[in-house]
Amino acid sequence: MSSERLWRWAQAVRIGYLDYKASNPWRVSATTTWPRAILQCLFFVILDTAAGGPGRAFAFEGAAALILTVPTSVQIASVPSTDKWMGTFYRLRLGRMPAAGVMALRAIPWLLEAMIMLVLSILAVGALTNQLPLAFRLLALAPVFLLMAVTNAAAGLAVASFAVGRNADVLLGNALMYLIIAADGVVVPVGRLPWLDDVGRFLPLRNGLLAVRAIIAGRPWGTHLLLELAVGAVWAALAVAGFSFQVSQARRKGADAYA
Amino acid sequence: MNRWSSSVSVLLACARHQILVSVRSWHFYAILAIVQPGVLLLVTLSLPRRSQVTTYYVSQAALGVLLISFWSCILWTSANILRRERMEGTLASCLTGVRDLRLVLVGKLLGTNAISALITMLTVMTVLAALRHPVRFDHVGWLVVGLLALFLSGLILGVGMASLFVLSRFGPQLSGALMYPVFLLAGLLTPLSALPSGIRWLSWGISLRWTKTFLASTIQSSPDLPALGMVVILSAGYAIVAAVAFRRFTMIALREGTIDFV
Amino acid sequence: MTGPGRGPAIRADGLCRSFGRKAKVVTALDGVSFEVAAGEAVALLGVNGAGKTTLIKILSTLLLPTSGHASIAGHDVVRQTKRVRAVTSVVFGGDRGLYTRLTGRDNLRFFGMLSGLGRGELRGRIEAALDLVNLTTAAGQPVETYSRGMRQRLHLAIGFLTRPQVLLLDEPTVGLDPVESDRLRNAVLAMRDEGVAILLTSHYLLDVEKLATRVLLLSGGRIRENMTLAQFVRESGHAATITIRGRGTAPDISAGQLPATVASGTVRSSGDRWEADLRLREWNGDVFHLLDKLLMAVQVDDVQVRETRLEDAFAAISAQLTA
Repeated sequence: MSSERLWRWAQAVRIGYLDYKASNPWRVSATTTWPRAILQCLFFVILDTAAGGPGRAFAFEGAAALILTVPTSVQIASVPSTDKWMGTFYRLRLGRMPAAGVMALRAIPWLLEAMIMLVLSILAVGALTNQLPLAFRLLALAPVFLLMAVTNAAAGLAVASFAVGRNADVLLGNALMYLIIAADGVVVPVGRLPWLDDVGRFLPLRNGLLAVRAIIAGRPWGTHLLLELAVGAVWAALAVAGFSFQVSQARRKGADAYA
Repeated sequence: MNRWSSSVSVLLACARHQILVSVRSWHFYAILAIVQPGVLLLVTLSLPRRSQVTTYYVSQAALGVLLISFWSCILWTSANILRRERMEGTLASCLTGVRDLRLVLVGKLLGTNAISALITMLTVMTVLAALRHPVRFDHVGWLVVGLLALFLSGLILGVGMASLFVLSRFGPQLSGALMYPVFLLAGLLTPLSALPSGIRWLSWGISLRWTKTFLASTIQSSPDLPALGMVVILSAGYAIVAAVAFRRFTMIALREGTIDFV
Repeated sequence: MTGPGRGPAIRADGLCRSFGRKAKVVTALDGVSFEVAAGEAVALLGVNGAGKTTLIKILSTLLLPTSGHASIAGHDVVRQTKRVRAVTSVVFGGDRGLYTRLTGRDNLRFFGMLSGLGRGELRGRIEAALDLVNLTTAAGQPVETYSRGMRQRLHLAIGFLTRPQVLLLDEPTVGLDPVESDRLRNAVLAMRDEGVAILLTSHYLLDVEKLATRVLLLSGGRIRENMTLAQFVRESGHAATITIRGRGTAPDISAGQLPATVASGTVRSSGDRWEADLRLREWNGDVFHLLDKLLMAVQVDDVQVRETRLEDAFAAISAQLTA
């Protein structure tokens, strides 16, 4: 890969970071978004325990993974919607890089946000629920969580690519997150809601979470990880298709605010 | 038309207007009043073993989810009413109009809260019916009183939060940040005993905690009137804070011109 | 300067573009054909909704035509979009099209990269473009703090970054004060002199007068007129208007009394005072002799001469087209 291409990619990441930072200054994230993540994680751990669910450890693993979804399934839609509200999509269409590629690179700061929220939540909730040993084991599995963040981001961008033009990105992004809560075995074990299990197979996070639980329990985990990768690849392909569709539709119909 | 009936007509007109605005932005209500309560209720009822899902448990869960959804709606719709007016450029007209902005704001909150309350209740009832989980409230009359108190308290909270949020650039982040602290501190779906003892005292100042306590008491036992009293007292306190916040925002707007005037 | 083989820098051949379906079809362009040579600046005029922006979007590859062909520097706008984009810059202007939370320089950097500029040349080009539009001082501030004129200048700076062979300008001076407008025009003239082909739309006919050598009139999706600037001015029917104010008896400017050089004349009286307008077919030194004869027996207070503005020409032609 040429250094010039790497530089271009870096510029796209840079603009994504600058825009992310302008709308999410660190002091605002540190006082609002990150505490929210910690409390959300705590909420689901306590809910599971109080409701007589599978147990604190199970809930902690799931709730920690769930933290990844807010920035990657929901808030990541701000990447394409920025172009809608600023009216800059036509510039991406005229550019040398594919729109999907630009979106993906600009979305990288959200992955960073997801990992920061994950680490903070694991440490804080681990301490609050007397599960620090498990917390450290989860932290050691950061690469698996990063994979889940990436697959979630792919799904988030795929949903956003179709939803932004219909002003439905907030709705569908949140719907994706709540579907993950219900169908991915986050706090309710897989199998307890059979009619949702089939949906969960195609969602990000599910297989990654199964991999995390398998690793911690000392069971085989390779298949789960590969499945998570495969599901993520499908969502990534859908994201590419989605943005390509938007570009093609804009060129056919003359609308620059997404189809 | 005397002053009283004039005020009522302003309230109703603004409520109607806000309902029309809400219908256009139905996506928010779909998330807050359908998806969120639907999934939370489903999860809460699926966590325990089937034998542990008693009518009492279901009723508690339904109440908790209702309150969670109501608070979420306040945070994401009511609290951002003035902020959105500002973004649209219509806040100036509201501020400088003949009608008192307080009336206009309360009217708008009436509209948005009514929509979210109605949709949430329909969602909860639909999920319960689909899962064939019955609920039971022994004191339906007091339940209605409690829900009315909740609604009125929500209006007051909405005025205060709208007045604070209008001056902030980071409304969505603020809304998000205030969700789970209240879910946890008010014990809406999780017991207060699960929280560290050092922070449990904070729940005394949250009216939703007492609302939950009162509403839960209408399920089987006799209504917890002291809890209802706490709701009223705290709401009165919130009203004072809301009035101060509102005055502050209007003063800043008129004196320093930091609100967009066209 | 042009693509494969010699040919015009911009070429449109029977371009058509419709929007909507079935009973609700709106035809924005209906068989548009024209050419613009390298080093030529052509103004595209038309009332709102005439199809100007649609045409610019097709030429810039943002929009597909329904039928017909167009090429930029010999490259087809439908089939060779990458090559077209490599040699074209389009400036739309307005409040949108910029990342307002970011600085002007950040916007330039990103869009410059997107348009294909390499790392080595980008920085120099950015500074040159900022200097050209007089935005260097404000380049480090967020765009949301910019005035309307500053945003417009930033749009232009982005358009100038790549030093294109073809420059498409859609209302480039909107929001600019006279000094900045003049600065922009000089920059565009310099590019034209370097051989850049320019197609611009503008409601400010001063832009047309200063920049363009040819005018295309678009009406109802069709090119109605394709003429030089001088021809365009003459189409208004007159080159100048003389306004004479006086007292007492008004001069006789009935049709039979006017010399051939006067296209038409009107007189308005109010009490003791009168005001006459004479529209001249040509404006030259002989006009004074005409005036001398015409106003010999009247009491004149004031005489003013105004050369015909392009607005007059545009209004006259538009009236003809819509009649």
